[in-house]
Amino acid sequence: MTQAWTRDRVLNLAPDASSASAAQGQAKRSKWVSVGRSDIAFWGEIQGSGKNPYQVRIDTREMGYKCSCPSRKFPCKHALGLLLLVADSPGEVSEAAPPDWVATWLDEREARSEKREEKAAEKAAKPVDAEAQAKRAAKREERVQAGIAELQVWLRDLVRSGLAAAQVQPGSYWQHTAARMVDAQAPGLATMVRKLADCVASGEGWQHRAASAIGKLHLLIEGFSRIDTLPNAVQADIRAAVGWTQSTDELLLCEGVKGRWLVLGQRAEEEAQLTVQRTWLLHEATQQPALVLHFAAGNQSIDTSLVPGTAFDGEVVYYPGHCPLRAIVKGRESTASLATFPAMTISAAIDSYTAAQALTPWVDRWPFALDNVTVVPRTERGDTTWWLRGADGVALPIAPSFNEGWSMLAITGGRAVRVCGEWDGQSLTPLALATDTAYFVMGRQQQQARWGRVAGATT
Amino acid sequence: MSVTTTMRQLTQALVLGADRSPRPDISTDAALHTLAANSDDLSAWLDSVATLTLYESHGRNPATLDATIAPCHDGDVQYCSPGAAMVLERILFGDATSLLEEWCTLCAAAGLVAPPEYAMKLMYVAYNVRDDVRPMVFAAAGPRGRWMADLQKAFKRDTANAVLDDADAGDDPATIWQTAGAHTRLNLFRQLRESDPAAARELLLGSWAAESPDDRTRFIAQLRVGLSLDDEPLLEQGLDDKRKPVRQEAAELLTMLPGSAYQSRMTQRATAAVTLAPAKGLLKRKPTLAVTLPDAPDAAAKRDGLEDRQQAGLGGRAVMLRDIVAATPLSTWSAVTPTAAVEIIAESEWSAALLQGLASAAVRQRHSAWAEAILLGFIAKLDDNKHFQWRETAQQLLAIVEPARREAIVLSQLKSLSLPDALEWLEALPGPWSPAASRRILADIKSFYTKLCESPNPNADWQLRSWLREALPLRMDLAVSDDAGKGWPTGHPGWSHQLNEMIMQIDETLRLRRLIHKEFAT
Repeated sequence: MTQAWTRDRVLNLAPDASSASAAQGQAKRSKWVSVGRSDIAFWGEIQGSGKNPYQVRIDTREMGYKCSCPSRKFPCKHALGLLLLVADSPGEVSEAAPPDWVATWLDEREARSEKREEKAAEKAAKPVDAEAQAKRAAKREERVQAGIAELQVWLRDLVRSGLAAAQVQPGSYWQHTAARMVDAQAPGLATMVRKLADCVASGEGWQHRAASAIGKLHLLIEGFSRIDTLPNAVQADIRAAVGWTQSTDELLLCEGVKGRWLVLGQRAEEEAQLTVQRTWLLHEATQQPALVLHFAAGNQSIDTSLVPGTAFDGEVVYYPGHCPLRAIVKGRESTASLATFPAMTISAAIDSYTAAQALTPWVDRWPFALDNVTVVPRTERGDTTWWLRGADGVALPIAPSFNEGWSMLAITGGRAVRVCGEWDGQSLTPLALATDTAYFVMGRQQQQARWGRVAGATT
Repeated sequence: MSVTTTMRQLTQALVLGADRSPRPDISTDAALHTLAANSDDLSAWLDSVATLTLYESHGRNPATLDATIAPCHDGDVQYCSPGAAMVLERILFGDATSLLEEWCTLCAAAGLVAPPEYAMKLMYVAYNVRDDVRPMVFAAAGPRGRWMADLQKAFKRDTANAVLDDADAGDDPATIWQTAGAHTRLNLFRQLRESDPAAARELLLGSWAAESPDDRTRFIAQLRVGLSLDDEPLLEQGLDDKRKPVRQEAAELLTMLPGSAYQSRMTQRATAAVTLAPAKGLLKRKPTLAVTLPDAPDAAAKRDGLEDRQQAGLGGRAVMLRDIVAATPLSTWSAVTPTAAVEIIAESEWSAALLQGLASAAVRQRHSAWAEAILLGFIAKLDDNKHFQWRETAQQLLAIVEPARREAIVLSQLKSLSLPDALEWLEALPGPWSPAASRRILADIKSFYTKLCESPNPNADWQLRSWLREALPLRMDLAVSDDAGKGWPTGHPGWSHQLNEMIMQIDETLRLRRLIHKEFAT
């Protein structure tokens, strides 16, 4: 990866805050007995508390780490420390021929990945056992249908007894149903039930929000019960909304969209002990958006191969659907830094959202890339709300949960800039902004959300 | 029926529940009546809700906003280099917080400012964390910082994240003075003294009689900012005040005003009590000293703050003597050199009172020659008891002495005392140190540790350690800092892991300092 290593990028790789701070202590050149780099790897030997120095190897192609220390954290503080050293003083880590213990490891990795590719190709070439597959699919369909039937009964009960009655129910009332949906292999429905629970508890205006959530849930249930009568693309959408997705292996065999893709922004959220990371891509030629999802459970560190503020040439495969949005990156080469991105007026952006919703009513979030907007704070009844205002006076509210409004204002200096962010139908969460001179990305540096400048962007 | 009304009715029905609420009649609705024909009421409702939800989210029009914000005028501001910004990142959000002052000083000297993404954090630190370097840190935030500060003042009352808590920029001072609360008025007074001392004084004079005693005490203390002879009448008024703290503060400030009537009164009393005559003729080598203790304080003396009261091992009249000398300009004693004066005073029976008084005078009047003489005299006559009392005075005197001489004094103390004890003197030596001093001090510390490793007493250096970690790398001269990480007895069995960490930290701080200097030198 030709992307320059910055401190922020390294600290983002840390699995938790204590690793990040421990890594800083390891980043002093004097601690390292030897360091070196090649075009695909970094390595070093560091004196720890053991007798022999720990050997640290890092493969930058796929971000693999191997350290001989006994730590269970991944990556360990020594690997992070070495990367911090590279970020802080790149001159201290000089090019060299990799020593044996590094070269052997790199070769092993290559062998393993080659084997993996072989196996995948074998699997793809193998005649698909259509019968077994059909059986599995039928069984799953059965389960989901049973789950949907249960949910329908539950929903009708809810409507009969009323939302006011549901509001005073304990948390288990909602959790139980959500769990039943997960059992029925329909995690998407479980998420919708949890969202409904959140709406009911959301304070002022909850009635309308809850009613809308019920509307969408009912639509999905009804859609699923009629699924065979609908066109294929819509079927795919419904299945995706229910939580039934195609496997990535199958997807990788399909044709994707080739060209230059811009990585606009990224956002990670925790839900139910799972971290979900949404990365928004934009196809430069057609301005078609794509959403790449990454998941990490518990203490695992999340995928960092897509860096906001960069562009790559490659192939992106969309999951099937009426309005293609979710995708995976099939192949990627040559990364470069972004200076700006194609953007549109607020009205045009809202039209694009409406068009997407018309195709797929379950679109949860949609990327907006807005041109020529200014950041405007307003006070209403003692609270400050943030808005993005276009040149014609049309304005969009920024999500109340967004805390970096003042920083955003300081960066823009009150001038018009390009902003890209996530729109959820009510408000926008900014993820990146491009001024005349620089590209800024909303990043999660050391568990704290902050605006960071993208290095290497042309000024 | 409009969509909104229908939706509201349906929502209400949902809230109450189908069993309890009246059925909203959708059969009359132009768009929804087809749904009513389907199956049972409940399905019809749910279908309607779903349809209307979609309709609402598709049809929502964005709001319009008239309000705008005037953009910031950057002028021809120049931002610092990316390398400098990287260090600032460490300082503000990482582990290098002690380097903030140095970074901002060098940035200002180079005529640069921090990049705009740091403006908010710099302002936060300036106002909430580091009051002592507020103007410098605020300046580093540049025109964006000032612009943000003005904006925030407008939003001050409404934001939880307001950075500033100063008086309203909008209202005029006189109005605020009359109407605002104590805290705001004090802030206003302090700010006004910085920009227009005369105006501040006028405000105070106007309301002096009406102020509460607590407020009078606070305000008169603030006169310290922008103090000048014009403040004399107000301070003389303060001397007549009923409350003792006000009188004391007024007297304290008057001692700092050369040429004031207060000082001439004190000088009169001083020359009456103490006669310091230079050496005369060939026979008398030493200057002479004659001391007459002052009489019991009369009304004028009491007004000037003199009291016959025992204090700190001195009798009542001796305390008066001390206070008189402390308020007298040191030029009164110009007949004799400070060194000779200190020598002769040290032999007198009133040495304690006189030396303490002279020390206070030297600190107030920032007279480096006298400060040095007194300090050296004190060092020469080091007495364990007196040492404890004089510690604070010695540090204050050291701060007044000329920098070059200061180093010489501290280094000589370092030589005569062993290291943990000499730490106080090192602490009192502010940076930046000269290269020679840096080398000497570093060498002494290294040899101390070598000895310590040989006769391990693990806690002998616990005070030294934290000072070494925090203060040493900030004060050392950078030209000789390359050796800071080397020459320690690391191979010694007595050398511990924590000491290693300490050396790493010192080394890292020095490396960052060198980096800051390098980045701002171009």
